[in-house]
Amino acid sequence: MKRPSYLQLIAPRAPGRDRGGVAVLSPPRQPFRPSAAAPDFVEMEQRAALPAASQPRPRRRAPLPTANSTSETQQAVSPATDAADPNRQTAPAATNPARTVPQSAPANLPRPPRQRAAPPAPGHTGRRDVDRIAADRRQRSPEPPAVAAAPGATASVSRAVRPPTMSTAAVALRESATAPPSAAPAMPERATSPSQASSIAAADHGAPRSTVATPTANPSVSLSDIPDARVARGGDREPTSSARVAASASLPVIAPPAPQPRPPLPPSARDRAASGLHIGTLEVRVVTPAVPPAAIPRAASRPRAGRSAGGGGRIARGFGVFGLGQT
Amino acid sequence: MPDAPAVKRIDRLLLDIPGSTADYGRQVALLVAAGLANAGAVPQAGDLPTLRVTITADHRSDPATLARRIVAATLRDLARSP
Repeated sequence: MKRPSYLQLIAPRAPGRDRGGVAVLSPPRQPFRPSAAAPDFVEMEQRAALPAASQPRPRRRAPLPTANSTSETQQAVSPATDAADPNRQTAPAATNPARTVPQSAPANLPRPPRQRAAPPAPGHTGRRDVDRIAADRRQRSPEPPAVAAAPGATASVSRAVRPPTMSTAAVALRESATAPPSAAPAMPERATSPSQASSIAAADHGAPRSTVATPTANPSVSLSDIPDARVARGGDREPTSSARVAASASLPVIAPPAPQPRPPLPPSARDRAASGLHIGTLEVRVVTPAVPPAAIPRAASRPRAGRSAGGGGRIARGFGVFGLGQT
Repeated sequence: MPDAPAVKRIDRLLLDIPGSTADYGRQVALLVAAGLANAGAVPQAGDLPTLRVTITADHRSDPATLARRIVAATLRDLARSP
């Protein structure tokens, strides 16, 4: 039995609640963990359909800030309820069976160990029916299925079908596949779990059994069918990686050819490089003389022209183009 | 017994004579090669990837004269090179 959390202990005695009637403490929202809460969530969805029709009870609304109810505060603070029902954020109290069926709530809220059956609640007639049905079917069936007899059988259906070995799973699945629908509830052994009990109880209340058992049976068959198909094929036809490695190891090793020895240099070239004179490129540049002798008289006449312009040493326009010795 | 003449090898000869014709340049190149082959003051060994020689001469001068000037300048540069 899970002991109440700290918030459950202190919430009714919150000072703000006594004074103003306003909820001071709000429960921390549990993070959604799909791996842990998925099986319980699916089972709770199955149970959600039954009590709504058989036991109509007034639905409780989501805790409002102005509500001054202790029970509502405890419902809101319960972390197990929040973790098991992720849809509570979108549809508050719409499909949560923990609120509509308070008899099954003690079995759901504290999570019992999966290998043990939940203790029967006092005054719960559905639980007795389930036990009686399970006992009758146990007596009728001569040999229980290997799946149910596995030591690791747990409350979760998907985990209970998971076989200890592949061959056992293949046999069990073939038996279940070839069995008629009347023998399909070979799962009375699994009825020890609270969720399965509720599903069988739902069937007794009028819901068709096939619709109740189908969501949990189909995924289990599809999950464990993959190793069964491999066994039926009689082994792996495709070569494994180790076989490929072994096959590749048996291949002859192709080594690169040995480098050929360099051909020896001809003696003439070697001697030439050693003793003679070698010039790679001989560049000869011939430069013509720049100043012709005829340019000198013109250069001598330039200062005179500058003075005639009257610029005080400035060169007249157009004269500098031909000046400075250029012809 | 006379010594064997030293081996001289020039892979490429490049002449840059502005204002001259190809025929004039070909004559100058042949004369330069002959002058270097017959020169006696050439180092016995050496390896020069590139040797640049610059002379001042008129392109209207005689090819033989220009070739002699080129050979003289080349031998001078070879003597200065290590």
